[in-house]
Amino acid sequence: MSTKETSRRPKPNNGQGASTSRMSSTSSATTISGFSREYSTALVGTARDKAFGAAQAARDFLTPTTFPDWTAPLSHLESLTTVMFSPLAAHPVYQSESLAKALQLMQQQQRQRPSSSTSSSGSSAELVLHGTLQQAWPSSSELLKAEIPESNAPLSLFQGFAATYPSLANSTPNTPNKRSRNRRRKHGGSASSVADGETGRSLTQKIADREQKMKESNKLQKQKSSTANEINQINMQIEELVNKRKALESKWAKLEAKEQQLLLTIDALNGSIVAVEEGGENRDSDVASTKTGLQDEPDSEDEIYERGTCYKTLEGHADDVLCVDFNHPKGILVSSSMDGTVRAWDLHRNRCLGSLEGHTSLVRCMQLDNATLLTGSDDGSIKQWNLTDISPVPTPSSASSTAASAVSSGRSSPELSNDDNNNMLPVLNDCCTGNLEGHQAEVTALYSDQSTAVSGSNDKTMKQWDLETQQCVLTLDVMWASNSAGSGSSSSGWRSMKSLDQWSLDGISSYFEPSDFVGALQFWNFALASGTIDGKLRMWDLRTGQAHRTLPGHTGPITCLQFDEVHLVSGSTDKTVRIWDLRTGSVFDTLSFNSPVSSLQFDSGRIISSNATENIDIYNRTSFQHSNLQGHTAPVNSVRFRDTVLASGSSDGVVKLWAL
Amino acid sequence: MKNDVMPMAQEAEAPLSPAEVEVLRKQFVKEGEYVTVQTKFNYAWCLIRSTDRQQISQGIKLLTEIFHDSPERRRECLYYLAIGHYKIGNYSEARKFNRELLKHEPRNDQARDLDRRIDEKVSSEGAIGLAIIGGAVTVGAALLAAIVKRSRQ
Repeated sequence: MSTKETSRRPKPNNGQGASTSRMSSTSSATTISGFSREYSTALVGTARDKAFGAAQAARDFLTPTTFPDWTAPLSHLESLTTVMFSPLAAHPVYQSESLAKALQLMQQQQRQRPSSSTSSSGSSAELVLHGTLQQAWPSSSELLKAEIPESNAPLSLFQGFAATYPSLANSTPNTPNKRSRNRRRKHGGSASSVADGETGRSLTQKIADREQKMKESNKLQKQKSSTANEINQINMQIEELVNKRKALESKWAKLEAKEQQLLLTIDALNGSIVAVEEGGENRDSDVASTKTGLQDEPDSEDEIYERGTCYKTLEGHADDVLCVDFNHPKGILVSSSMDGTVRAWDLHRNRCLGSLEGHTSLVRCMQLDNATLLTGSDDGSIKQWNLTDISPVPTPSSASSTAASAVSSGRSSPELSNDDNNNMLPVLNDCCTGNLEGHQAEVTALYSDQSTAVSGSNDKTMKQWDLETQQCVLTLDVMWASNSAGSGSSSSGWRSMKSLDQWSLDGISSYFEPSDFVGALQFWNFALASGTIDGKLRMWDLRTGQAHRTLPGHTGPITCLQFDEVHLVSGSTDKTVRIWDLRTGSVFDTLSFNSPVSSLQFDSGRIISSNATENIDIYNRTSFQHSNLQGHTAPVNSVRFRDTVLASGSSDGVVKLWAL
Repeated sequence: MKNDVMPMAQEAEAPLSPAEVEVLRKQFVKEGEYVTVQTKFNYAWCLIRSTDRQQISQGIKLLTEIFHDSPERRRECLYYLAIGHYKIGNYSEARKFNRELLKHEPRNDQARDLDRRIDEKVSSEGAIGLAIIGGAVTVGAALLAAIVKRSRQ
């Protein structure tokens, strides 16, 4: 305050500044009456401020030291105001209308003033500056409309400031020297303590030291608590954001569900339209199949099916279905057939998506994990497919354009053309992502995890592949291993069994189909279990490539196996399924059937197996009871189940989905 | 309120050295987009304490942001905003903020002290303004009298 007083000059020089102030104050007084009543109070305040501002401007102008300061910052004041404006643009509080009108008026007054001397321009610039500065932050009336809650912070802002910068907070107005003196005293305290070492530290010195340390510890505590405060605030913000995200995710899920339902109804309507259009052209069998297909489609909206019933039949293959696999009850199912095709089906809409071309021979084994499919074929190659990009509405291939155009929506309908050639079936291109070559004969067994695959083939070897590089990293020679093992192990009871050599020389023909050398395999990390044509189960270590264990027991070629941490279940053409305890290596249980077992899968509750009859057997492991799934009209070749859905492929050319 | 929780208004008259201001500014800038309230306040407080109008107004702007963003700090911000406006000369605004603070905390010594200072300033400036106007009026009246006399003669 004192500085402003001293800058006053004697009266004569005040005249010019006074005239400006008088003009502004009188004209603002007239404008007050001119304005509407609503803004009058605010205007009085602003006018008074303007008057004070004018007085101060006059005073400031008269002090030569401050005047030059204003010319320089003029240029970057523009940028300052823009900087000020832009962050506040998002804030809802804004300058009041009255302020804006007052400012406009002010600027009009500036322009009307006749004198254009540097002083008035300087002061007018100042006044304009003052005005723009005032506009740069929201007025108090707007701000004060906001709620001012009780302050819960343990530490005030100033205390935090003082904690971080204690020297700056303790200063008094007019003595910067004192501040430095304080600082020097603090340093001097420690210095003098060293100096006093000779004379011995006096009591007062120690007390002073202690006080100093206490202050420091207080300061640290304050800093700690302010930081903890900030952390808490941020934690609360994070929680808020997480809750928001959850709400949005659930919203999205609901919208997605609605969309799915609508799509299903659209499909149903499409199907009925198509059926009406094409009704007269098809044969009776097709009509029957269409009707069953259509009848099943509205039912697919029902989530709950009766247990033990087939709720969907996927028709389309022209010949025996050899193997099936699916990744999710509402996802994609892949089936291979003796007609030479591999088809992908959309289980959500129960439609065939298309065929996967690439293999030149029958696909004997496959595995589908999420979106990657591995198929092993009689042509000795294993192909890798990526199914993520399959569109739900398949586009017809170029060859079938004329046929497809008859269907209004342009989608192919396999239900209508199950005996048709592949022209109606869209070809899913660009799915094959890799080819594992190396086997010299048919690939008959396959298993993979995220990065590795192991395949067994009729060339009497099993190969381990690295899926990223698509190279074979290990070849296991089953013959060599069996011979070396057979010479050492006590195989007294097995002389009736033909040796592997004799099996292979025998021109392998058995009752049903040629038996595969390696019927089945599965691995987990480095432990591989294989079932071979001699009925023996072998455990291999993939790190060494050696078979360290053999489980004899089956009397016929093994066709399927699966193991978990405790048990290994294997099925063979000797019409039995054996459950082995892996810890002891002995048979835990044997299930007998009437015909060779072709495929099996188990989980903790049941073992589902298929054999050469048309029925699928479900064995409940806790109740030791068998139950049947009937529906197929030919021997079932492959079964796969996940959660509560079982898929089965049989020689009647259809894939059936069952609710478990 | 104790003196260490809120500073007295006269502490706002003591500016910091440019080096110190620079230190605080660097800390403020360093924290970037997610600057903490404490850092912002530190910088704003040192700006308000300066004698440069521009810096004071920048400090006011920062405090307004704190006011807007952190509801729990609003009460303190009222005080500092009042000081800022008081230093710049917006006495009506300063008074509004201070009155609001006194509404919530009537026993706040610092707020009452600030109120007293604002009143002093207002009256003194009013006196100055009146003095200027009065002087101008007398000069104008003297001129008029001289002109009239001359015209009569």
